[in-house]
Amino acid sequence: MKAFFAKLMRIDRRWIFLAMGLVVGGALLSSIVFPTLEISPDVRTAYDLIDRLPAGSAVLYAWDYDPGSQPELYPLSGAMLRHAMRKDLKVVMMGHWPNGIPLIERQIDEVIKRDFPQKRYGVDYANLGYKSGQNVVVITMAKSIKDAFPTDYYQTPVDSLPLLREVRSLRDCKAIVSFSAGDPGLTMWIQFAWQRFHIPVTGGCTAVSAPEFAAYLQSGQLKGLMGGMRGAAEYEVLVGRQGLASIGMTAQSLAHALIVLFIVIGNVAYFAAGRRKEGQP
Amino acid sequence: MTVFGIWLGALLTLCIYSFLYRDNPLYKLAEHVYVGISAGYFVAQEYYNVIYPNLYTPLVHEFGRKFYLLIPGLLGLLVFFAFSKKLNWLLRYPLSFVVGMGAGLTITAFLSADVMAQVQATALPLNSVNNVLLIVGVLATLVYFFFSAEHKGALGGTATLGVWYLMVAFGAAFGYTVMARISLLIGRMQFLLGDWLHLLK
Repeated sequence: MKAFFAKLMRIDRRWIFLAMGLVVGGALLSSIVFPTLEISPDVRTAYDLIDRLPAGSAVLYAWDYDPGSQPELYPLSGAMLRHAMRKDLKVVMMGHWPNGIPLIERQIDEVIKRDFPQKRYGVDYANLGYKSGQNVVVITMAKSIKDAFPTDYYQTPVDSLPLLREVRSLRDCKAIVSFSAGDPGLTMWIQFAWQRFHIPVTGGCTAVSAPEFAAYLQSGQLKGLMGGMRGAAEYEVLVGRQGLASIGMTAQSLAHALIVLFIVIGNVAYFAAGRRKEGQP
Repeated sequence: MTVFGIWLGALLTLCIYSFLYRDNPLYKLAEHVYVGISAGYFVAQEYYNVIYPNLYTPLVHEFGRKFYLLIPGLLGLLVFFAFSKKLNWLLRYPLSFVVGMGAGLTITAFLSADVMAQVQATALPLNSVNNVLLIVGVLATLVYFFFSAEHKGALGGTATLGVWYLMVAFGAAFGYTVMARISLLIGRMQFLLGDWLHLLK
């Protein structure tokens, strides 16, 4: 038995990769769906912030991520865009990450053009595209959006868009939503848009960065947060339309169970095989 | 996404995942393609979204009102002197501008959002378990990072408590990190099994 555990301690880690791949692939291929998620208070706060805005209010949505964080943030930005469209909010879109801008275009096609064909570009929503400059862009937008974005993503002068004639400054937005994969992202919006101009900020982040936002939530500087795929899945439940995040959560739960199992087996094997001395392989 | 794009994406994903077996030329190929395309794409986005609408167009069409844009334009051009051995000192001007302005903006923002607001949020009445845990945690962690006295006696005990708080924080951060990495795998699997192989409902 001791020899078996000793062998287990030297297992090729590629078997673990294979097991993980099989569990995740198997969960996606199977029709197993775990029960509906419990909605956390932070997600509820963010949902309520958007839900309570009167129809016609302007909101700014910032796609501050790129395809590297797509599995976690793309479902969330889709669910929040759908929510805004249902509530007849006016959505100004932009991004601080150049590689993320095509994702805005894709989401306009998948959410707005497909399910809300009556919404008109330039009247109900606008895509300003990418601008470098990070916090300088935010401060400039608070003075005048046109100064930061003379043209939209399609090189159309923003003056010619009715929505941007109404929303001339960031201060005209009732909330800012950032889908944040790092910096520039939520932290920058909190530091500049909330602290300087008191515009409510909410949004989602990758699971890696979720713990660092706890302090901003606790201090009331961040009005709700969706952390990782789970946060996105909870928002999908609130919006009432299950998407990629909800589907992925079954695989997520099974993968976590597998990791816990590996940790238990690893510890049992470690103690059963006898502790190794320092420096011993 | 076009059929060609999906196949290309799927093959490049498999090339990247082949690294899990061992390092190989296909992985290297996909890695270099990714880095090259990202850099090229970034340059194009920077030109069409920043330089063209914010610098070139105003200078050409509204020079009388926007002539001052020559200054940032000139500072931007000075960056390219980084490639000159004789004149690379010119790079200091745009860099000093960026560093000075960046520090000025960031320090005030950081102080208000990450120092003052956090101190304010920690000044809580001790009327609930959560508040007590939070205040004790902040104080114990601060004591752990106080190195001007030896961690012995009451100070040592408080510092040890601070270490326990840090361990809990690291555990939470690690748990979230695992979730993030699994999410990335799920995203790729959804692409491979769904968009590429059409096996998902």
